[in-house]
Amino acid sequence: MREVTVVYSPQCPSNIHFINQMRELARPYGAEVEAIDAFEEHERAAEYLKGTPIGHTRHLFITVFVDGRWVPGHPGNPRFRDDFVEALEGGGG
Amino acid sequence: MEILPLTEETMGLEMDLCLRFHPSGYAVPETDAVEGRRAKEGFLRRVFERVRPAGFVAVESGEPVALLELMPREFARRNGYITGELGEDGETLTIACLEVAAGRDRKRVMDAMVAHVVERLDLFAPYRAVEVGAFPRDVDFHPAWVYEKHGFEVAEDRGIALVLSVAVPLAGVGNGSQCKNGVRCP
Repeated sequence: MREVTVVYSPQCPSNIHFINQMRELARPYGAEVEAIDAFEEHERAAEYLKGTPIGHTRHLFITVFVDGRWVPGHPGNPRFRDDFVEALEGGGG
Repeated sequence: MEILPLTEETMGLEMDLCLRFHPSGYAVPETDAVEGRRAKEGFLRRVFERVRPAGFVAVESGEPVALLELMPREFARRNGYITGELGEDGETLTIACLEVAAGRDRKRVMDAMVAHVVERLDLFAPYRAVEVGAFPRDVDFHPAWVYEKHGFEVAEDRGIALVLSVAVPLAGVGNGSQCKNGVRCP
């Protein structure tokens, strides 16, 4: 079963909506979706973010990992949704 | 267009911009917006304990036009924003968001917001600097040009991203004319 981890900033009030959208998209795949508040759980968030440019040359807002693998892009972007579904299906390298 | 300090009194307008007037045209359904507001409000109240105002909100006819939001660098880092590595965390504020409502002249309004904050930097003493993670290209979000136009300078060049910084005048140097309307003064 796929594990989806959403790391998000509580500063963006739209993020709750995007998390719920990720849950909807992941449901058909039986994937568990965990949301990590980067401010409240910053050490856990940092574990996920350390392999990405987020915080160095890229802002977080909200980002998604499937089985620990980063899926770049913002959930509000339709192209990201395609990439996310592809990752859920086991594609994307 | 009127530019107001971002405080407990104006944070609802600020959230409206993100939830209802986002430049992407995307509006968050009210059921999700309620929870999003709650999360953001809790976070902002923690920011206000450290800096108040925490930026500015532009309004026109009762609707939000733009926001410029800043927070202690330590908070911005935890939230995953691009932050600087030079200087002291405890002395640095980071601009997290500069956003303009859908349908507005984005460049003109961003320019007005940055000009407004730079003219009022003395509000943010005893912090010593305001920084922002920006981008050298003519991008929609945090373009470097708008900050450089108003006196920010490159503190760290990371290639595809820059950390720009401007100094906050020492407390007592400014004339304090902005210290009103419930804004806590240095």
